[in-house]
Amino acid sequence: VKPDDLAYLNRIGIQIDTSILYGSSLEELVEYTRNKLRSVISEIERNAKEFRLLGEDGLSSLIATALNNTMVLVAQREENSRGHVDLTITAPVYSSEDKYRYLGEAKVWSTKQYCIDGFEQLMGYITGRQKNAFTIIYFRILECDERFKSYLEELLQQKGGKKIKLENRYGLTRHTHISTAEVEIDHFAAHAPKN
Amino acid sequence: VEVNKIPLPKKDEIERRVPGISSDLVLSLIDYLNSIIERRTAPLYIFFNPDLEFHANKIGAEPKYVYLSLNFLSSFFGDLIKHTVIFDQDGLFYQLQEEDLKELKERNRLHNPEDPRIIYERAQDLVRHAFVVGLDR
Repeated sequence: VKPDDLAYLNRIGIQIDTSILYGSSLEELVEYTRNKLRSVISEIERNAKEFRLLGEDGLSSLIATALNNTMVLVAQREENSRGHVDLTITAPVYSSEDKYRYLGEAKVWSTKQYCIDGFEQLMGYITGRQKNAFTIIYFRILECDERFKSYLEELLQQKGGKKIKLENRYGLTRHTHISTAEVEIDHFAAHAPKN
Repeated sequence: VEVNKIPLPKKDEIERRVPGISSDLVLSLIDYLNSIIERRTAPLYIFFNPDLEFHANKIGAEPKYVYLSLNFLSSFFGDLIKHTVIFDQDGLFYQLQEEDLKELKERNRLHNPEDPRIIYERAQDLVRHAFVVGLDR
């Protein structure tokens, strides 16, 4: 009888997330990552006061740490060949890095244009081989939902593209990358007011 | 024999990129693994059970943190350290490829690569998990 390797990990204190399995498709990995990001963002929103001193870097590190705890995803804050990118998420056990590499750009809301520039930066980092990337906007002010919607509208107006989905503090848009590839960008809003 | 040792990242680099992991532990683990792979001519397989505990004892760490460090190192040096799923049954020993993993997930079965007519059902119970170190030789 083979020793059960995953049961052993449980015994030493590693909780393997079985909601995703080896052999999952890239679409399943993207969906899994989206759900994890949304749940980490909700956690940040619930504890916004505790994180009131954190800026873009601190909040992104917090998200990276939480994603790394899934034991599925590896989130890094790093520079890639095209410059600085806030978050790079891979799933080394599940997919090779050149197939699954989900890049994200985080901004603390100051103006609509500042966040649209962040989107532009993100489109510069991705190569078009990866079909998905994401932005996170941290709202440190009281108004969040209306501003987030208006940011998405302005973004589509300025940069072109199509709105696929708009939910509470989440949007999905499709754009034509400079490589001519069609890419989908997730937009997450995190409402973490300072006061 | 030219050996592909695992490069030593800088401490602050580890802490910046891998929050929550002790950089001292990561560096001792790399030193330890390098000292093993430089004497070998084949990759080193570290099965979760019981090898993690064995190697953890060697460097005086808990198996949990050795697992976490190996997991994160696999994202730095994917060509040298990789978490892999292995079929080790009936005298066969091979690393499962993408198609095998898909079959494993969707149908919980595997084909014998030498004779595809032989099918292993309930294959999730038959596979082993391991880190393979020193791949690129």
